[in-house]
Amino acid sequence: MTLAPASEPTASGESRAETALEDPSFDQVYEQHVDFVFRSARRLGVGDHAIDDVVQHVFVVVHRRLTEFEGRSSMKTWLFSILLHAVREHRRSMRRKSPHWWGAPADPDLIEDSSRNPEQEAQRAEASRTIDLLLENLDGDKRVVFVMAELEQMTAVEISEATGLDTKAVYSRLRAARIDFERAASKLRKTRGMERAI
Amino acid sequence: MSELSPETEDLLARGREGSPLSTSRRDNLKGAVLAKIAIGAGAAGTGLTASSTSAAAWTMTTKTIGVAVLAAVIGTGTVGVVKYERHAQPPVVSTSVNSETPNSSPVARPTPEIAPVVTTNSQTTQPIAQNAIAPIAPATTSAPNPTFASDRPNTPNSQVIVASSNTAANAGTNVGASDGTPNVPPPHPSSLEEETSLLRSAHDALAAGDPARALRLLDEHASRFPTSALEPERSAERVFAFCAEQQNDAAHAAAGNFLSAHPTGPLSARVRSSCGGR
Repeated sequence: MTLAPASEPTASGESRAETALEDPSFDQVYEQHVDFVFRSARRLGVGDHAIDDVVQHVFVVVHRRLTEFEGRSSMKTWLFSILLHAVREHRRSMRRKSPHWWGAPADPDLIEDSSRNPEQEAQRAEASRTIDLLLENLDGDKRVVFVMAELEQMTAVEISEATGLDTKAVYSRLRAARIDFERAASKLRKTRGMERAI
Repeated sequence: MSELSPETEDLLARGREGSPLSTSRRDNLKGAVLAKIAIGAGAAGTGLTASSTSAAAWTMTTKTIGVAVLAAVIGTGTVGVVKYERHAQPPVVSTSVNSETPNSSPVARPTPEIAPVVTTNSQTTQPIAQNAIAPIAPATTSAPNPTFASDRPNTPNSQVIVASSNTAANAGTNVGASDGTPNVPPPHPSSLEEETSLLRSAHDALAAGDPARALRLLDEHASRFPTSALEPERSAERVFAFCAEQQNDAAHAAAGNFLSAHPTGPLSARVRSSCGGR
């Protein structure tokens, strides 16, 4: 894997730009990142019944802690670390009440944007649904690392910051996650190919 | 060699961004966040643990936001007033959320912002655990910054940067071309926030013994937000304001209109027990 110096623009260019943003207001953070927080929560396995509350929880924390955000890490990294804790807390809560609970698939109908091309949006939504489905085959840290690396295109350093894993562990989990994800994707393609043939 | 096939890479590229939330969903979520902030530790602290008890409680609609924010204000008439003030310090309202960021090395950076203050009987509450949990604030300047995208076939760094910039643009961040300075659009408060704030102001006025001002603010609210989801709260508050002004006839008429439209519910009980309902 290629290593890029921290000073160079990377896949986290968005994040680096945000690092330079001084004193973002709560409204700015919310408007810029609510989609990111929402989709990440969904991809981490939070079901429809709980996703609003998890997202709200994240932004309540953001509101309280924003003045202490230094900008030394990217906003996305900071938000993801808050989200991870919110998701874990939510899971603990759900497991206490239902030991077999893991999470329900999201209802994509809850998400819409009428300003987009309907056909493109349908394709995007379908791809997103498929990804969500395939993510169910990943568990624990592998799922977290895959979402951050492959879907949010965050760097190993950012993932390490948000998760507490060292970068070596990040790489190893990502590799394992990619293998699992590819295996599941391949299986799904075969299944869908058979369905179409029928 | 990547572990992902070209087909899977293509799937990820198509679905990576996902679908954005609808405007109404964004507004509802934000309203619910503001409501939780406004009502303080109770709502925020129990939010996650309450999740499994009521599916209906999860999606806070505009209506429930109004109830959440104003229940303490209008519903019982006994709990504190919620208002927004400009602060040069971190928000004084804190919550009992118990799952936050893991690492700590914060350097407080006072930032003027609109922050909610919960007051009860005109006394500002103190933070519950303002600095109990610190945010992540790692230094990144000395560490290498490996990118996962860079080892994808046919995905050079330059393409990744473009993709990220697009994402930033979609998210509302415009990065300056020459110096990289982000040009962030000014915040645009939602009408929901304005609605709630205006209604709170009306209640403030009434609680401060100025029902005439409360009625003016309620008129303004009705004029600006005629189809507001907070209409029941507004109408009930109007009844109480008429009562406070000892305009019993007006209160009676307003109460009649309210009870015709909303015969049941906690507000109805209060309206019935007011001077307009007797």
